[in-house]
Amino acid sequence: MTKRYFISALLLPLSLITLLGQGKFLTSEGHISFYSHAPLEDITAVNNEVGAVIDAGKGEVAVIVKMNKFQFEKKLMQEHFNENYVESEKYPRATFNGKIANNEQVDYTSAGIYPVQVEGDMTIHGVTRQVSAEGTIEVTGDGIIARTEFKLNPEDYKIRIPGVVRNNIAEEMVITAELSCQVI
Amino acid sequence: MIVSVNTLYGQDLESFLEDQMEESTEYTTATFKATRIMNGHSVERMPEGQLDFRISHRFGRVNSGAYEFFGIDQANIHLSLEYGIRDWLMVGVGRGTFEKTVDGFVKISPLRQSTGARNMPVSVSFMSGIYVNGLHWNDPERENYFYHRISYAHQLMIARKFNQRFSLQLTPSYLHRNLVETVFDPNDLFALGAGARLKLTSRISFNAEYFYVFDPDDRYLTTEIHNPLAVGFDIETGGHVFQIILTNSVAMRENGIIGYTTGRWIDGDIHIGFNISRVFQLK
Repeated sequence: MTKRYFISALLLPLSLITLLGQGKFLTSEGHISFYSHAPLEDITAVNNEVGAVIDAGKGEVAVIVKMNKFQFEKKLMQEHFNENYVESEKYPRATFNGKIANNEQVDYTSAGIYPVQVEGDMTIHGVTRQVSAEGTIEVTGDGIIARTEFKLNPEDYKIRIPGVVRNNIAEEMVITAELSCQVI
Repeated sequence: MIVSVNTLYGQDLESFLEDQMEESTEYTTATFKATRIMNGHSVERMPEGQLDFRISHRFGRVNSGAYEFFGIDQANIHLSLEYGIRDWLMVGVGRGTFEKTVDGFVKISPLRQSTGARNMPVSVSFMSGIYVNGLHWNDPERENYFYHRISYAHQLMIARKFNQRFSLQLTPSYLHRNLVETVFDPNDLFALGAGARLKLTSRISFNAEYFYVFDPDDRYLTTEIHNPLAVGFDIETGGHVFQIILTNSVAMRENGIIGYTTGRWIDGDIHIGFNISRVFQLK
């Protein structure tokens, strides 16, 4: 009996390591924010209900962003964002499907911060584009935290910003993501 | 090995993620663009901490001819300040040219249309208004009490946004006047309103609003009244909502709209008007 426990005790961390090394990491409460800096106004909106999954074995990433979950300081602005710009009833979600180009350099079994290069298809407002961005994956005790910051031009996704609000809305948005995922 | 050529990256992972995400409640927004469909209240309210400064005009009748510049020489104005105390509670005060009225209202929104985890087919709001007539007494010899100046309106707004372009609202309404002109005029009036919004572009919509006023027996009324009809456009410019209106009522509050619409569309008793809504974020 003692022997069997001993063997299980030995196997347990081993199986955990394989699980962590090959498994998937998931969140449904990831944070994504965007920031627009224009002469008349700075606009920030935060979404705390971002879904993300990272398949450590294959190095694949999928992200789902419900567009109507972006919270603005001004409610009217939030309504305009959904109604006039991203048309979130027609296009309720933005998605990203891609892979970590240098996945082999991330050791999901040992704590640390690993720089990563992510590339894939981003779909916003019904428009799909190939994008790539740099970020980091922080391996912690009970999961990983994926972070990235990149720039995005709304016009690329056919989100039209009329001339009259050019001084209020920037041509380029800064997108910041922090996806704190648990192992599943 | 069969390799899908359509998708470069694993769609499987996305559908896996989709299954993992909890279904949330999606509340319908912008059933109407403003807190008014045209003349009357829409189901919408000001969100918490926002102040709406509204300036409305109804000009004279277009059939008054070129001498009156088709009514534009005679302007009726209504000014109001309206504030969202909570997302479901708003209050407002105003002053209008029609009967020199000072008015106030409270509007609550107990139900919001939603899909997803919580399914609700309609949004519901309730509005109670009080209107104080500011005209000189028309018979100063009589014993006049302050409460004679007051009338009240209560309205239930039941609205559904059917799709992103079309919204419809029903508005059962009750109006009580403490004092009416003669014994033949009813103190109580009931009306059923209907309003609709059709979005033409992301910033412009066509709106129409009609109130059917139940049984105001015209044989006895001191002043013949008609059912109010208003059509027009919402033009949204970011921060402002501009509403341009054609209507047979000159008043801009429920006491006048339901109780005192004397014009008739078929006779050309049409008023051009506009509402401007400017929203300020107070907190």
